[in-house]
Amino acid sequence: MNAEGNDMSDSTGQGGSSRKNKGLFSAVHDFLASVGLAIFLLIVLAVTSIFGTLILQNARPDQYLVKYGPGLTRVLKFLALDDMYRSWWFLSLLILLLINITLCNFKRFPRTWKIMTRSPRVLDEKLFATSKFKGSIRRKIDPDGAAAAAREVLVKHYGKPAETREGNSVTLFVEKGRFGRMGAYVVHISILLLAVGALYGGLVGFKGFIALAEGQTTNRVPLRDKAAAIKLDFSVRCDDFQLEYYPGTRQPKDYFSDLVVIRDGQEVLKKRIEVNHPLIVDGIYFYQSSYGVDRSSTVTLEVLDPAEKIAGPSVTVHPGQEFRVMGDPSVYTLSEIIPNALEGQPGVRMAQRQGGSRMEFFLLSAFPGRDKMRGGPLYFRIADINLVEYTGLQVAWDPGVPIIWLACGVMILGLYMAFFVVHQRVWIRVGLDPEETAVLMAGTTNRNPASFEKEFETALSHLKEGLKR
Amino acid sequence: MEFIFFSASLFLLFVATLHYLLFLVYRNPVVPRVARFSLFLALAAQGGFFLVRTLGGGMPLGTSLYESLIFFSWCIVLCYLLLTLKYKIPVLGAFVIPMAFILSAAAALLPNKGTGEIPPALKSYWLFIHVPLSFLGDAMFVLAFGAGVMYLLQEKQLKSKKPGVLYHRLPSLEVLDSINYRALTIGFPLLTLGIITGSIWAQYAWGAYWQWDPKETWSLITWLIYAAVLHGRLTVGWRGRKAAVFSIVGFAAVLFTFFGVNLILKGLHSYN
Repeated sequence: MNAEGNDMSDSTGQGGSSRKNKGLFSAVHDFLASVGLAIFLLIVLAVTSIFGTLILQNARPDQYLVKYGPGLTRVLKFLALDDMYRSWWFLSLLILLLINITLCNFKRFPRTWKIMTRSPRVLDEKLFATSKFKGSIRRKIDPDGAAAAAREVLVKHYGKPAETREGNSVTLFVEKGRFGRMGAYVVHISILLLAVGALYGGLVGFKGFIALAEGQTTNRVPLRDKAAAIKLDFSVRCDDFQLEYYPGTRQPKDYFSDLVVIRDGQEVLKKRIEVNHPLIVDGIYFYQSSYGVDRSSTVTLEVLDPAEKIAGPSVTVHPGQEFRVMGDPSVYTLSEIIPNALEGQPGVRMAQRQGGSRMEFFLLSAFPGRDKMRGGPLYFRIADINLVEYTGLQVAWDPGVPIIWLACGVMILGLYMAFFVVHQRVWIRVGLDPEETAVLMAGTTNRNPASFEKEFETALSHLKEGLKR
Repeated sequence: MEFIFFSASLFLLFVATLHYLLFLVYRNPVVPRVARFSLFLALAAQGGFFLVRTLGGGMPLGTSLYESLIFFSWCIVLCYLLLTLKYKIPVLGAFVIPMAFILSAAAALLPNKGTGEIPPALKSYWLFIHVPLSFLGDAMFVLAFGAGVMYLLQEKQLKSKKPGVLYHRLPSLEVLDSINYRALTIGFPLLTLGIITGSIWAQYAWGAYWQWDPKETWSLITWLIYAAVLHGRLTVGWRGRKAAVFSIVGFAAVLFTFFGVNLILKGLHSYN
């Protein structure tokens, strides 16, 4: 039903009869320029892309060993499946697709251009015979009157026709939606543009991540993909980080950082950033992407005996720090500070090691007596937490982005042209024989023949009525 | 209020599904009319549900699996009603509307009904652009899938010596192929727009327009499959069977993008 008009029944360039006579070069060219290859590559890219969503990407080596074991890890590394989307073979497939798109478009374009610009102006026997939609009327009427009626019908249904006289007949021709034929080419250009934008951004731009504690200033951005850092010609300071939770939950509602940009010792810009609202300096974006507790935070713990009496001096420790207390053989570690542990109050995760055994427990500000239940000779109570939070900033400079947006716009335009602009052509030929005037009407469309047919049939019946008058 | 709207829509979808299925065996012109009328009401009830949610909490679209399911269901009903304005083929409903019902019923069975706690990354007006475009695209693919399944069934009927009851119920292969094509040519640009708006949003929210997150990758996989089908159709001249089979494969990718990524794989889009 969506059949192209008979004018578009083009071959794909595969399996030509004269292939034997061609050289190797043109055989390779034909292969690279074929739509068959395009479809094959689209499917191969679709299937291979699945792997990257199932296999851990860009993780630490030990994570692979734990998850897949040494043998499978070696296989994954060999096939670059641990960083698949940047692997040599995946990029090769993409490059092959780009070559294919380019060659295929060059090969097909002249033909499309011809269809677009050189529609036959005269409805001859052959065109009439091959047209999918057609009708003919023979009647004894004045040819000039018939031509006028035909013109009226075309103007009403399709637009102003062009008139061509040849021999003893005149053909009225009208077409619309020609530029829809360019749709596919426009889409393909947009894909090449995407590749240009991605390549340019990848080569010239950078992506990094900084964890900036409150009060800290930096101009150094460690890169995400390489063990290197970029020095900015300005510094960024984090004055404050704030996190809001949905009431009564541990679900973050919003988080902000108050950032200050410092250039040559001067504060030049202050901005509160949050998710979806980045800071932009010299085209470099600072995104609020995560947060956490800085290791410079401290927790002061009171040491009590089971009778709730102070059993010794309080201890003040950093996250990750090991310590002992008098009268207890265990080694303790402050594993983690949890800012919103229970009822909006903080807590800490602790580890206890004694002999060969290790256990974890929690201390909660909202529930100070809880640790007694651990049943040791001594227990802890949180006296004070000096919480220093850090803000996690994604830092990116991607000069390719404008090209990407341009490509996206071009792609949308191209898709619109390809699927929604229909190239319709209609001819009416009026024979100039005064004895019996033969009127032939024919039409073609490259899309949506059902609705074209409806319009065509209506126009044809109007023509018949017009000729009666 | 929200619950009333949702229950009403679920009931109406059930009525519509039942009538469309009934129409397969019992040919009475009243049956599809009842189905269509219930569908319009279901669409309105679901609309009411989203309105109440929006007024109550803010941004209800696709921020939890519960809302996603109901919104997907709504999109399928909307696209079905629009497409059948042109193709008056109520039998299509028997292959499409059960899907809308199942999605809504699945939502009803979810223990977590979405608490209105929206992660910060989703607080953006792009939500209202990106999510509807993506879901409407997916809904068109549901229709392409329905038409594809009907095509294969009808083809089987035609090949068999004794065509069964379905043969008389299903439209011609040509019409089914045409519906499949229409659905693809609307669904594909919508999917493209969904991916593009998602990229723009990602650029502002996460600092990268594309980072091979599982949801992004799976939507690209879906895009590639449908791109292959369209190339097959438009240039190599695939018709009917091949296009139908590929529409079914593409739809499997749509489903995985929707459910698989949320439930099995973890990534930036797994908010639930």
